Amino acid sequence: MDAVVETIGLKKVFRDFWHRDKARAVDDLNLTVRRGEVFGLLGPNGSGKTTTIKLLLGLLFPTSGTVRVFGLSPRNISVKSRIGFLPEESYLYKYLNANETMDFYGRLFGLSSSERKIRTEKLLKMSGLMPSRRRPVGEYSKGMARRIGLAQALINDPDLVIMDEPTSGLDPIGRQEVRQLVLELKKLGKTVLISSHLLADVEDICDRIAILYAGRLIAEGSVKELLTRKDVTHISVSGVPRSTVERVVNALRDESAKVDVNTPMSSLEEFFLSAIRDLESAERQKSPVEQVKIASADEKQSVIERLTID
Amino acid sequence: MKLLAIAINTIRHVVRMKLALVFVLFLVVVLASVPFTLKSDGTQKGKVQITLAYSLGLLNIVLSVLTLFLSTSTFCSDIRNKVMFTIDTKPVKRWEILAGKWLGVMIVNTALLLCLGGAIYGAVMYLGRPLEGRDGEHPELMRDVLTARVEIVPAVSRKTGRTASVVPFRHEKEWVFENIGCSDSEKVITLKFRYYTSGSSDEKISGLWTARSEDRGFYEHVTSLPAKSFHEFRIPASVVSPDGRLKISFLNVSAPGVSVIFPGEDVTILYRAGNFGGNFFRALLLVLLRLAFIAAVALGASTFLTFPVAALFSIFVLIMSLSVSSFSVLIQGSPLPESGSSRETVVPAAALARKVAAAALKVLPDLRAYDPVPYLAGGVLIRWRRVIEGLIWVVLLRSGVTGCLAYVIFNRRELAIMQ
Ligand SMILES: Nc1ncnc2c1ncn2[C@@H]1O[C@H](COP(=O)(O)OP(=O)(O)O)[C@@H](O)[C@H]1O
Ligand SMILES: [Mg+2]
Repeated sequence: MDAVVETIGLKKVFRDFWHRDKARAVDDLNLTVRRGEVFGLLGPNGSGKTTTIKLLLGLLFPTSGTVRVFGLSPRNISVKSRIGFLPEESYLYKYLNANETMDFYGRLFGLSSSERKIRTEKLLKMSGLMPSRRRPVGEYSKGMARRIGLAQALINDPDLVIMDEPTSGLDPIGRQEVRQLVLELKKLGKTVLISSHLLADVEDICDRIAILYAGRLIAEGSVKELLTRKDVTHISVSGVPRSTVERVVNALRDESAKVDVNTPMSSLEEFFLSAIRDLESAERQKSPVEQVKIASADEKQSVIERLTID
Repeated sequence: MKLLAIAINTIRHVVRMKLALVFVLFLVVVLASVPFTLKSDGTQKGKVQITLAYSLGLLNIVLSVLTLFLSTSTFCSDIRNKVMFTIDTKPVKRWEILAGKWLGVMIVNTALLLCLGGAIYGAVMYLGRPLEGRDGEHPELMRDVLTARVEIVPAVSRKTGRTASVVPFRHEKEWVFENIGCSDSEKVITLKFRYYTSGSSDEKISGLWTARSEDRGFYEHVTSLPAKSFHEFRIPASVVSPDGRLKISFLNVSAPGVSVIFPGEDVTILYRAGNFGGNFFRALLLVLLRLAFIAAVALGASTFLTFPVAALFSIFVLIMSLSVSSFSVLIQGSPLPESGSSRETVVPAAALARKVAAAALKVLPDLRAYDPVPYLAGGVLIRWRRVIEGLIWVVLLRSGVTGCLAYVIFNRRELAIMQ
């Protein structure tokens, strides 16, 4: 019973009014998030991260397969009382101020008024919103909105915290703060499920990650496991003229080694893009039936390879 | 308590988004102008009567529309703004969300109804105060409008239904009234009647009315009044027997050859059975019952429709519910299509349509039957029984079933899919 979140053969197909398939957002997904770990759900935009999270929260119902959270259906009230959820965007009442927001959600957890007061104060202090706690949250900036979102997600002192893209749209300091918070939650023994389309934002805090592409799981494991290839060595150089690099490369080629030369790209998003281009061109050569299958070892490797270069 | 949290939040939504404000301002302006704009017959009674009917009717309509609008907008905006996501991930049952919303809307309604109803009451009391130099009119007002009277129809006609009777010259017609429950403190009861005549209609009809019961003697009254409109006269309450029985007879003494026609239930006995304040309060409760139903329908519609569609749907249900009685008459009373070549094909279809329509009307509450305006304008008592009937049929049954349906739909809904 160490699995906090477990999905078995999870599938979600969005259908239109006439029940025709519109989008296959999640396909045969098997995930296990264990107690006390920080689990990263990675993948480019549209890969099905948010859909998976909504399935874990009971906001969507699976087309097939099962979801278990704390061993129960996610629609179970006792499960919900142990979860804290930070949505992708701020889904809060715009006309309530921070205090009222915290109080409202505290009530929905059935917390006593003294308890609500203590926790509100603590969480607002922690998120640095004390000075603006009487302003309607609709007026908050993006960073502040994320903070109040985090604060309300923690009002019930949850055992499982689910964050959908907590770092996206934040400045480097904001991203660092989120990472810090996640590590603190981990220290408190909480299980954290975090989604991101940027590996760099979460790789140093996640114990394990899963990589989604087009709704399918293409890799799962510890960051180390996935990102190191024993036989590959990366040499980073800077401030060296091109000719020097060429000489080194030629020396390596003489040893009959396989050498890739590329300049580090500015964002992981671009790596995803190229990884996916490779994947798609590989898929184009296959029959449609095979397309639904889990990516081959080679494809996995190509995505992972790109992720390692930073 | 979670339910209450949602209710309180709904009230905040209404107040902060200033949703109700526009309606209330509109209502206040219109209501304030009622006594000055409406034409009455010039008497104080007429003025109070028309003010009461008009303002209460307006309050009823405006609050109905407001309720419809508030319920759909508060629910649909939560779904559209995805606040419902956040709420649904908390340990709240979906019925608590629905019931909390309903409760919040009803608290707003009750508050508005008490304030605006109170204002109408105050205005009516002010208009109905004894006027200097016109004190002759005041007792009539107090007797006929600012009161709560019970109206009793003859016992016989209750059994035989609406039957018209013709009373030729020198003939007599008798009605028996039962269960006249007027208290001992009441000195008089009122007889209200209307007749038609076989003669020329502007001619006055003379008649001798006798009121008697077995053991209490009798009372005679001669009238000479025109046909077609309602008339009233007073009878000492002492002639009513202790078990509440009274016989009323009418002797036609107008002129040879002139017959008097009494259609259906146009002879009734009225007596005071309560005060105006209590009656007014019950009238407001009847309004509240209607609002409870509308809120349930509007919230129910919002569980599967988006805002403008949900509102339109609810308006449709509201209009149908207000027309139940007229539709019933149409359905039962309309003749079958004339025979012709297409008879075989048309008739079964028409019959089926009629059956479906009749069934549909049974589903909806007959909201007109709980309209307080005719009661108050005529100074007629709204019995607590009427209010409780409304509570059972309109709120507990119709709104309850609507609520259960709404719960089933809402509970099966994937909130993250926008319709
Ligand atoms: N409500 C919806 N209706 C139809 N398609 C949807 C819906 N939500 C998501 N999708 C589709 O499902 C896929 C996965 O989306 P999502 O889970 O939001 O991806 P991510 O969060 O990884 O960016 C996308 O192709 C998206 O278009
Ligand atoms: Mg997403």
